[in-house]
Amino acid sequence: MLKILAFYIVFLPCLLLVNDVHAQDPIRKVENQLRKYRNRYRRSKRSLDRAKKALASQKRTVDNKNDTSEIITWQKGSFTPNSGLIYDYDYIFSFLHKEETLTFSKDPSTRFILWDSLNNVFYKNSANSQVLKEGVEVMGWHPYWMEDAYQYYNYDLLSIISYYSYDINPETGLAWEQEIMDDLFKSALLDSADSSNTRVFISVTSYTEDNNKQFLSNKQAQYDFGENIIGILNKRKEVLAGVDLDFEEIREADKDLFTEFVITLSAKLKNAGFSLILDVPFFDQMKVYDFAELQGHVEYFNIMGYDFHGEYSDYPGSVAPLRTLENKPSLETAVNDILKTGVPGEQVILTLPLYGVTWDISNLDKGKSAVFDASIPYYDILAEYDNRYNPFYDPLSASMFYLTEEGGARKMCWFENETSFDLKFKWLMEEKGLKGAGIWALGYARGDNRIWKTIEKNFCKDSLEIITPIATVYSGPYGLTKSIVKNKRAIGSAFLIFSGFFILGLIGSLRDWRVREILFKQQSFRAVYSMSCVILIIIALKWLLLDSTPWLYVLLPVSTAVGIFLINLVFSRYRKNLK
Amino acid sequence: MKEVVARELLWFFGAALVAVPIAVLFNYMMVKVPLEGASETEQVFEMELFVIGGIIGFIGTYFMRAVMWAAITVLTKG
Repeated sequence: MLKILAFYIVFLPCLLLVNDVHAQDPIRKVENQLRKYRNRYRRSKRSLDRAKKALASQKRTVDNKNDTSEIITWQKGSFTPNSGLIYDYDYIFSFLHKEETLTFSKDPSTRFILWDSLNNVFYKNSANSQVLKEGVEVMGWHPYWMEDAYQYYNYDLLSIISYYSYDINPETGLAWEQEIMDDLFKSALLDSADSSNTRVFISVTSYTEDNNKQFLSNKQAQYDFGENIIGILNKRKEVLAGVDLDFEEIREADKDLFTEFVITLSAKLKNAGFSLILDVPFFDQMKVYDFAELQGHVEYFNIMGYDFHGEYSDYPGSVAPLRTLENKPSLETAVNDILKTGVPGEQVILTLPLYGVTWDISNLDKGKSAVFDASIPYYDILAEYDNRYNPFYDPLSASMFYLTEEGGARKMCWFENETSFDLKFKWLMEEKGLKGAGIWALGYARGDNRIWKTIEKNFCKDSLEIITPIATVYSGPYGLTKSIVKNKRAIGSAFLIFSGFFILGLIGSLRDWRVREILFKQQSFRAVYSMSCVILIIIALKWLLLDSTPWLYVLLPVSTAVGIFLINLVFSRYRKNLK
Repeated sequence: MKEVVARELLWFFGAALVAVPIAVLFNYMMVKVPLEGASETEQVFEMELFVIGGIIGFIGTYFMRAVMWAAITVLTKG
């Protein structure tokens, strides 16, 4: 039996070689070709699997309710880098380590972790991705007539809500309609805002030249107004943050009075722990806003970037045009005008309209002008036109418009939607470097989520953040090998000592003359021992001296070889003398 | 029996000693470029290749012994 086994061990390779001689056979040729194709297929499949693995994206969902652990562990297929030793021998690596276990520290807001398999980068997705970026303001107005529409606002996407409005009675300084203020405190708006850390301002308004003139020249009314508004703000100091002042149609002659009023009010509010936002028109025709003087007294200037075309214009156009062909006001001129006065972009908010304007253009072809029809909120525009018409985009104004025809009446409706908002938000933040944007008015979108999505896209933090595992453990012998790497010097030294004792044992056995006779009788035996000694010395140097003294790699083996040669020479002479 | 144990002991230690230079050689052939600044995983994998080389060397010694035994058995005693 043993003989048969021995025969096969010796002659099997010979049989295989002989077998190869028959490869010239036509069937063998075909088989060889098939084998080549099979190998090619295997290689291609391997490349394809590697590409699939590299392009795959994997996800680890985190169950925060049931999992109370402070860490997240994730067991997944091991990663093969795009280059390097592991890439070169990934089949060995994958064989040894099929899986890797990653450990991440747990953040209660983490919903899932995504793995970018191409770059081996991990991203975590937080439960609340709707978090505004640091230092960005998104402001929205809640007009009192929108009543309980505040229930549908996305407070996480609003840093400021301005409650519209405390309309000043110029005689007394009190609100024309006190019940509007009362409604604010009866509603849940303040609580909702407070729960999302949204600051609420009271919008204080005064319209018409006469009203403004009367109020600005009435010191008692101004004083009473100040006392009254601070009293209102103090009712819910934890959420009410200040006053959003909107005076429109101020006479040029009242410029100084207005500046003085704003400065006085700002100081009063500041002393009480509140701040002031000043609403300014898109075009300050009368130059009544002394920006240089007011700059230090207001938290933000809010440009009312709407009503460029509307009830008082002669022809249809965008309500908030980004640019215009002629030398007409636009959002760009409005922002440039204020920035030119020295007000930094960080102190400017630009408010855009969430309403549109319709014009009757039925008689345009008869040489008559277009007629203003109505201002309509965004939700009415959608309800009226969205299902029946496709909106047009005007690249100059970056606004949208519908052209409609019903029963012979042709209309044009200019409005803003998520596309135009997106462009304008990007422009005001990236090109102009403003503090943020405002929306006039909240509630005009009703249940439509597209505007909120646009705000989220432009003003919120990225929902995916890079996360680094705190530990990575591969399956297989990774832990054992890692500890060998860590202690390789100690293990190597122990092995050398062990080898030294082994050699000492062999040397010790030379005490017996019969051993000496067997081991050193032949020259070839002595050559093998000598070579072994030289190799062991090289390994010892490699382990103990590393690369610090490279010359020893040559010197020591050579001197050892010379030493062994001399010993052999003496030994040979001794044996000759014995004879 | 004593003889067998003594012989096997010498073969075992001999194979362990031979495995080391084989492992060094195997590692030298496998690692194409020096692993300077390599990641921990790569360093561990390099050691794994070294260990694989050592195992090949160890098993190879016994394989060599088997071939020697087979050849001697067939050619001298057959």
